[in-house]
Amino acid sequence: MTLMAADSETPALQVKNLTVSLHTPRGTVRAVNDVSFAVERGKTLGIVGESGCGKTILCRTLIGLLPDCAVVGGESRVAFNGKGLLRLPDPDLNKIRGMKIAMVFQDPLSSLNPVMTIGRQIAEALVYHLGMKWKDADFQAIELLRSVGIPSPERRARQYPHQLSGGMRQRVAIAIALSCKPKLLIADEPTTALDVTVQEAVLDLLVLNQTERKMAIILVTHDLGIAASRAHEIAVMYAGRLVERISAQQLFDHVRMPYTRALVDALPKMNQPPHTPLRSIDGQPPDLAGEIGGCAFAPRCDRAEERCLSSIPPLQPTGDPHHLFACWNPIPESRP
Amino acid sequence: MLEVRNIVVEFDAGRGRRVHAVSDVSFHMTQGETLGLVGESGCGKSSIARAVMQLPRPTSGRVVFLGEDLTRVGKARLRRLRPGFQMIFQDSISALNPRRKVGETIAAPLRVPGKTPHTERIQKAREMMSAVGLEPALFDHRPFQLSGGQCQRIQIARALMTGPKLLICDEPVSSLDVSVRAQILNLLERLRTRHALTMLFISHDMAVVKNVCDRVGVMYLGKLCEEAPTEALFRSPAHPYSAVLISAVQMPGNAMDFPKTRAGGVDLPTPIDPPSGCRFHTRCPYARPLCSELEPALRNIALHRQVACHFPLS
Repeated sequence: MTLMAADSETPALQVKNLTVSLHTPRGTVRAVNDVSFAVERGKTLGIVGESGCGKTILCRTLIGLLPDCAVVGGESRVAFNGKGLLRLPDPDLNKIRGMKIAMVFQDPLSSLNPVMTIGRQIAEALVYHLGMKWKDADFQAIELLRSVGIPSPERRARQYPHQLSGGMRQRVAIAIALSCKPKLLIADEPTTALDVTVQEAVLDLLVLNQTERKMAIILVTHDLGIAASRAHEIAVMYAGRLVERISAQQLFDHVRMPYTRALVDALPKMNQPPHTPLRSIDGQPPDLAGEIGGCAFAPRCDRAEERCLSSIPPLQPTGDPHHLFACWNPIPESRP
Repeated sequence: MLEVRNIVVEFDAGRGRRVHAVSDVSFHMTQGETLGLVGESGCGKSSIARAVMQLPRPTSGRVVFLGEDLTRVGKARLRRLRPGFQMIFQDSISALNPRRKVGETIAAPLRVPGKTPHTERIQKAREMMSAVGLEPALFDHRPFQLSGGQCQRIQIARALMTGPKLLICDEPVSSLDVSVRAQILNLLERLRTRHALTMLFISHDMAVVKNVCDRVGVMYLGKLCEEAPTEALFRSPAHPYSAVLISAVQMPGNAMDFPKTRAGGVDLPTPIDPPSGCRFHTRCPYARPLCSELEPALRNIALHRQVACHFPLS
C-alpha cells in the first residue's frame, strides 16, 4: 500500500474498504463489510450500533486482536499515521499496539491480570514499551494512578484488581492505556458496566487526556447519548456496514438514513412527559451468514423501495461533504 | 394498594458484620400508578423489590398489600396471595429455566393455584404469548435459542399469567439494545393500561424512568433521599444527589433548569459502614458541617414531595 508521510495533516487512522469475515460452524459471517473512515488527530469518532453490528470486531481488527476464525478481505487497508497495519508481522505490531495505539475494553475485570498488582500492570507497559527501569516505572505508575483520579495511589498500586470497584478498575485500565502516551485510543464500550455518575467521570477523564495530548479516540458505544455528547463525529453501523456518518451536533435533527432516525427516536427523551410512546423498530437485524443483496435495513424500513432490496446503497455525501449516508430513499433534508 | 413501612433489609457480611442494604424505607403506591426507584448499584433498589416480593422477607418492617401484611401472613396464605404480585427480573436468561420450553415456562404459574386443567393452561399460555408479541412457533423453543428481547417478553408473559395487580420490574430493559428496549417499554406501557397494573419500576437509567414513571423515589446507600412526581423531580430536584443523577444523563440538549451538579469522590461508600449524618455528605458538593453530624429525616417540602436533606436545593 502507499506510504504517506506522517505529517500533521495525515489523519491518525485511515480505514479503507475493510472487510472481515468470520468462519463459524454456521457458515461465513461478514462481520465487517466494506467499511471506510478516518479519524483526525485530537478528534473523537463515535461508532454506534446495536449488538452484533460489528463494532467490536472492527476495533479488534484495528489492534490486531482478531479471533483465529477471522479473515480480513484482500481489498482492506488500515493505515496508522500513514503506515499500513494489517499485514504487519507481530513483532512490529507489538511496537505499535499498547504504545501508539491503546485500547480500553468494556469489562476491566477480564482485561486486567488478576494475579498481578495494578501498579505492576501499569509499570509493565512502561518497561516493555519505553524501556524504563522497574524502579522508575513503579514510581511512574503511581503518578499515572494519581492522574486518573485514584485516591491514595501509593496504597492502591499494591492492590489487586479484585480489591477495586468497577469504576476504579476502569480507571486503572485507562491509566495503562494512557501510560505510553498513545496517539490513538480505542475505547470499546468503556462505561457500559459503570454507574452513571462514574460513567460521567470516566468520560471526562478521556476527554481531558485527549485535549492535553492531541490524541485521537475511537469511542465505541451502543448509547447514542454518550456518542452525541462526547464525540465530534458519529459513524452508525448496521449489519457490518457503515450506514451514516454525521457530525455529533447534527445527529438529532439532521439524520438522513432511516435506521439512524429510528435509533434516535427509540431513545427515551428527557424533555418528554412520562408515558410518551417510543418508536420501536420492528423485526430483527438480518442474519449476516447469508448474502444480503440490497440495503440490510430495507426489510425493517418504512421508506424502503424496490431498489433498496436489490442493490446496495453506497455511503456517499450529498451537499455537505462531512455528512455521508447509505440510502436510496433518504429522509428529506430538514430545513432550519 | 401497597404500603411499605420502615423496612430494613440486612445481610450477613461475614466476621460478624452486617450490610444494611435497605435502612428504614417507607413508601406507598396507589392503584394504577407507576413508582420508579432510581440510584446507583448497591443502593438497595433490588433489595427493596425482593423485600416486597418476600424473597426473602425483610429483616424488619411491614409490607401491606391490599390490606394484608405480607411479612406476617403464614406460608400457605402467602402462596395464595402471590398471584396478585409478580416480578420481572433484570437478567432474563438466568431468570428462565433453561430446560423448560417457552410455553411450559409461561404456563407454569397457573399450576400453583392448582385449579386450571392442563389444556386450559396451554391455551392461556398461547394467548399470552401473542399478547406479548411472541410468535406461536416459539412455544417449543428453549431460552438459549432466543434473543434477550424475546426472553424478556417470556418473563413478562409469565408474570402476567396469574392476573397480578402489582408488577415489580427490576431493571427490565438495562441489558437490551436501544431498539429492543423501546419495544419492551412500549409493551409494558400497553399491558399496564390494559390490565390496570400498578408498577414498581426499578432502573438506574434516568431517561427510562422519566418515560415510564408517574412518581420517582431516589435512593442512596439504602435510604430514600427524595420522592417526587416525575416531572417535578426532573424540573427541580431538591436533593443534591437527585441533581447529580439527572445531570449525569449523557444527552446533548438535555436542558435543565438547575445548575449541573457533580458528585465528588470516585466511589460509593460501603453500606457496611455508612458515613455519619447524611449518607451523601462525603460526595455532596453542597455539604456543610451539620450534614456530617445529624442525619436528615425525610420531610415534606411541597405537596407529594419529600426530601431528606438539611439544605434542599430550591
